[in-house]
Amino acid sequence: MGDSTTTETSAYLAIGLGGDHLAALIADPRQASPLDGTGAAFVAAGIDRIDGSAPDGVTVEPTVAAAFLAAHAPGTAFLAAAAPHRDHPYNLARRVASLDHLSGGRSGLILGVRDGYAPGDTAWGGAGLTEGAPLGVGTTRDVAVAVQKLWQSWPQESIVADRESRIFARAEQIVHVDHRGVFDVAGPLTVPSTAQGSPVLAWYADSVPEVAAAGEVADLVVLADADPILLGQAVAALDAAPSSRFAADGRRPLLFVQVAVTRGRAADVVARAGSVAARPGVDGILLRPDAGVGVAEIVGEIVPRLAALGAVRASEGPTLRDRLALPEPARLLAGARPVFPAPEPQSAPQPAL
Amino acid sequence: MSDVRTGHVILGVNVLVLGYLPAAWQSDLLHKGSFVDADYWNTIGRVAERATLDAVFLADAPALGNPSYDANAGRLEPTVNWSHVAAATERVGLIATASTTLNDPFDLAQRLLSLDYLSGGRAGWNIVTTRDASAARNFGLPEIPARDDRYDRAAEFVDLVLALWESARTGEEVRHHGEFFDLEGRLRVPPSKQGHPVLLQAGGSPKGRALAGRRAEGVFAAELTKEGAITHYREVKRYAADAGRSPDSVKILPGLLLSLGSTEEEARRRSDELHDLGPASYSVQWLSQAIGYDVSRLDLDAKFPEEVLAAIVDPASSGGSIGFRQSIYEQIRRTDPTVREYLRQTRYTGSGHSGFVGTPEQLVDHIEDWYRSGAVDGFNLQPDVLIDGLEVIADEVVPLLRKRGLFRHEYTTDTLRGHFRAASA
Repeated sequence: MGDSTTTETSAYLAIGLGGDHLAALIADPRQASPLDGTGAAFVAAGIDRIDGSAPDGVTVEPTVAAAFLAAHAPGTAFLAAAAPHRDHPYNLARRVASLDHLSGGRSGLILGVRDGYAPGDTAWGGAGLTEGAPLGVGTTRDVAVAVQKLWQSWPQESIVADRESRIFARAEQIVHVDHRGVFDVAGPLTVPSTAQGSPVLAWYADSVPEVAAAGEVADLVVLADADPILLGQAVAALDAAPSSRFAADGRRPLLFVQVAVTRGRAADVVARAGSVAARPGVDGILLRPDAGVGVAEIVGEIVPRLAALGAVRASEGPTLRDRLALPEPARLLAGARPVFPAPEPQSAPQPAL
Repeated sequence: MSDVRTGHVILGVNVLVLGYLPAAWQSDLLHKGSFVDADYWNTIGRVAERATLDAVFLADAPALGNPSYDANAGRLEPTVNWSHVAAATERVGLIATASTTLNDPFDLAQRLLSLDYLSGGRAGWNIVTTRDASAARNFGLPEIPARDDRYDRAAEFVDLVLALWESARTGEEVRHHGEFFDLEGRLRVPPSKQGHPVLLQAGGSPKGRALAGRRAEGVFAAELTKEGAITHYREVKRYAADAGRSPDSVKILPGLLLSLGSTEEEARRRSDELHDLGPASYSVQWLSQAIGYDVSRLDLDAKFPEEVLAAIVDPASSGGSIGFRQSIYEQIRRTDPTVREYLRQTRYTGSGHSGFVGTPEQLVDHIEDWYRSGAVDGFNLQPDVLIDGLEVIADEVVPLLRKRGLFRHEYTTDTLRGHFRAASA
């Protein structure tokens, strides 16, 4: 956290998996369950999609991959990687909220500016409905805001399921989001808010302008690398960003830094990860094995050594927000337009007509 | 039409979240979060698999209906929902509805093929074009495009999705420059065990049936009468033949709304109770929406006025699916009811989709009759309340069908396409 109320000195741990990893885990889901023992706060599924690298040989769409893997690794939280490239914020918000329901609040979204697997150079232009928007920081920022509003549009508290009045939901509490920006989205979403309120929203950033934009709208930022100058600027940008994500309590988004893991350099990786974890302003590290490093190696070798060093801590809690000690996001829809009238209590059952 | 028909029926369950009636959430077997609960969805998948059903099916539209009295308004996104259920099941097919109007063909092709990969070749795509203006506004569009334009777009969309699925197999780029889409690229999802996801089509308009004959492997039809069903069955099979396909390669599977009981009287009581627990205005609203006319303005004790009937089947008038409107029209013509009588009839006979209220034995008679008459290849069953209704299908209906040689005793195939093909063996 940006403030220093925590007495923990060790960093959160996360793991970023590319397309090859996802395809391999899905082909043999027994390999996914050991992720539960790592103490990782989350696994970012399909991160190669948004990190600017060349795509892996194969991939699986991250929201559906995460839904499948979350069922096989019931103790692991997943962030699905996505960019508003061929994906629309309404569809994306809906899929991630669905994932969050089905995983019992263990889910979130990690956004980037473009999708390395997607053809075309516009946001949503490929759908053939509009010209599309430019891919860039502004478009991703707009999607982050639209998605968060959608996640709040149907408050779970509205569901009363009262058999007496036969009212299922106090539907007058459901609001339009009426989002106007790069995307126009009326809302509401087709699912209510989740066990953790809203899914966690993260941003994968490799430049200071991206970090600054993410600082305004995300719960968590993953910085592409630990270059000391970039890291210093990123911390400053986050500290300065006016966050809409948190109520005004002095918090800023969590900062995770990516640490690349290449084949056969375990000792190096452990040393590097340990030193990055100890840098000021760094809340967590994200281990990013390349396609040549298997999940088993991360789980069986790297993580235990990092833990033994005391460089990372095990995250605990039923929801991802619990694990990261993240509050529910600030309310974004005060005064928004209701969608439905208040339901009338139904009288005792009687023939309908 | 023959008693010599070989093979067996295809059975799916249209999981209208908790069951097709709005009062389904009031079942004592459910809690208020069941509609989005991981265990609820696992149970549905597992019971369907115990019944050796061909598939579970999810309808969908990307917009929220009013959940005031109806938990079924809340809808998880189907590809994510079925990916979760895929982890809890091994054989049952997983059919997701997705719109060609409000999706990007690259994203949707990738997502459906991903579902197909992780389920070991069990994915199906029910192709719809979306009519709902509130869905359009979630995508920044003031209106849904007109019906003909939607079907033209759907045809190009489906061809592009098929080409992209092919690209995942061959590794070769798709170069598509059409009226609606320009795309050069390929999918990198691992190849599917069943070639590619199975295509289903749900619209009942002439363009919809033509699309079905050309491309679909299953049609989720809306049929109220056996005579109408036979006509439409032949029509789609003819379109398939015209497109150079085997008529067997497209399966006709109408929806069938179900209330079951151990006696006919018990089944009617169950249906009545569930209807009475629902919002009083449910059937009036349902019909108004379906036919695009405010039924509450009609005299409930008079017959339907001629101009209202004419408007029901006029493709130019607003309202719901043409297939539904056609089947509602035919039923009213056949029985000439007052509005009140019609709304009451629909409790037992269905509205839009055909309905059935009775015992498992009677249901099996009905399935056998329609199947042997050449009206259907199977049914997409829609129980009133899934959590106990699906158990009755697994424990009573399916064993009776098996006894008559009309359904598989165990899975002999492991992909959805394999299940469909095995039915015509």
